[in-house]
Amino acid sequence: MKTAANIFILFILLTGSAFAKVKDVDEGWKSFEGVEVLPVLEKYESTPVQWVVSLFGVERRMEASTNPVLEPREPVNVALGLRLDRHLFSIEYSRFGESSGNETYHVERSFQDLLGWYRYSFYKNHGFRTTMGGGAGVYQEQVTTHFYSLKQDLGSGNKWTVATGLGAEYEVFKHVVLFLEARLISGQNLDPNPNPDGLARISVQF
Amino acid sequence: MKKLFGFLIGAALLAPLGCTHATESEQATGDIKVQIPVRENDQPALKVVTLRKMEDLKRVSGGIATFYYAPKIDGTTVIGEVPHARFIKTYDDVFIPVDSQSADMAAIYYHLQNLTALDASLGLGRFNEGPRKVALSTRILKSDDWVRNNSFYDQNSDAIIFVDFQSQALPLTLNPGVVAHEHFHSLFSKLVVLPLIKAGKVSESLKVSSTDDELRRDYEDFVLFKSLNEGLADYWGWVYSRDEKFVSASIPAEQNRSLEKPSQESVEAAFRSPQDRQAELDSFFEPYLHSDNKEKALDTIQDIGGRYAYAMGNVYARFFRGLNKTADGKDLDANAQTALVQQMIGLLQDLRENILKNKNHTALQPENVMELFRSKNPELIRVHCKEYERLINHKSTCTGESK
Repeated sequence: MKTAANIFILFILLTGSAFAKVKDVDEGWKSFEGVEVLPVLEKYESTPVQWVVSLFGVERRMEASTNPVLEPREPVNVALGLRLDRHLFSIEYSRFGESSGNETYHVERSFQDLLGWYRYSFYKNHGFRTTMGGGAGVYQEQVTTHFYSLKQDLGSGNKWTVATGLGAEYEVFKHVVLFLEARLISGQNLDPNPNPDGLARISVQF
Repeated sequence: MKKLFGFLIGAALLAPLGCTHATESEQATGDIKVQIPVRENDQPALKVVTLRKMEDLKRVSGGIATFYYAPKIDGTTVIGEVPHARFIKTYDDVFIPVDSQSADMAAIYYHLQNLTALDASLGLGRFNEGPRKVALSTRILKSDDWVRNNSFYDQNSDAIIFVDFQSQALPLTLNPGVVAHEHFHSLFSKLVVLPLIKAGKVSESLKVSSTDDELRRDYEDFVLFKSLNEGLADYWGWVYSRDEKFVSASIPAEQNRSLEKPSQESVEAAFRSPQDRQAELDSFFEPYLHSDNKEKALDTIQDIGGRYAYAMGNVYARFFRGLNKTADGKDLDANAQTALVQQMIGLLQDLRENILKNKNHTALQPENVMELFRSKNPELIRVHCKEYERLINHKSTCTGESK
């Protein structure tokens, strides 16, 4: 968790400095007449920075099971983001678990990952946007093994993970955004690699 | 600038595909450290063991075993998908199973690896060359219901078969004694049964087409071979696991399969006199002769014979377990125990050769089998005379010589 907290702080710092740089450049570009201005910069001054918070993400991630078939996992997904017009920077945390065995031999596995995402909205019409983006971060697996009266906790340590997604979002009410995304998540020891993944979430932005 | 931006977005999208690579367990080859649950000397442990010469840990495949998930067993062929075991790798390069079936695969592989080494040390390596076929979560229908909480050795496909385990006790797949038990069946089959079937000396099953005398003889052969097979397999389970109660660790109802020293009463109940056995045979075959559905009647006889064989087999198992002890009740040293296992294997080879040489195909009697063992190991039987007398249900074989 200490590592996760460090990454979170780093993310906040990076997004803050990125915002400052964009603003500087924006003012600089505007001073040259006749130079093509990127849409994002053109609209920047009219669109305030918005915080985006999601505590109700429903994610479905496909993992290889021992059987061997793909089995769905349903992680809890929470996210915190910053929107700058067409750009959305966010940090997302997912966690799921599974268990197998019986009273004598029992294994509990938990998986958690923390990814920093960047998404670009390439089409926008009223409250509807389509997005594409990528993320990078770390994940951990924890295994608790029970055998008769023995209990043991072991972990994989931090492993890298990267992801990409194609999504759509719609502002259903003011400040409330419904977001759907299809994603592929790769990792150091994921199977299949990448994991197909789907996400639906409702966010509040302000 | 737009192009650059598009390129960056595209690169971000494709990054996960570019980062795709084999899992740690797919990359694990050679000698691999894996943690498995083990019940050793009646004590549980999470033990780090080495799986040798692994070709692919994801499939737990190497030279020792090939796994199948819920396969179809069609005659000599096992058809099914290879399950994919899942592990995490710790900082000290130990692979930890993340689910129970992955632990099953690693544990079975480890036990078969040890049993293969034991076979080689006893000169039995030639019987099980190449990877053993192991079927997990096999679905077998019997009397309109799925068979559960059991394991088998299938002689035709040469596969060790586990069905779904739904009890809360030690899973059969994680029970070292059970893996050794099933492994022994393959040795018994290749050492004794298959050569005799090939020579036409024993039948694979009871047949309605046989004459009454042939049926009686085949029934007695069936019970004797099954009791020897099950009993010595339990003994093999103890030799490997050193756990006298390994069967009841997984199937608590099977307390009577223990290899602990038996009470006098349980021995007498299991090992009947030749006269009692004859009377029992008559009582079985009388209803069969008058039955309208002879196939079904024969199945019933075979079921009853099978149950009796387990009881009689336990007498053999306890007898051989007892031979591992000195006169003062301590276990023999390792060399003496190995010599005893070799004597037991010698008995099976002698039994096979005697039957192959015998021109008159008469029913085998348990007393004759043990007499064969005594003739080759007189000193051992002299030390354990009382147990031997009980075993053959004969009270005067070695009077005055017992401990």
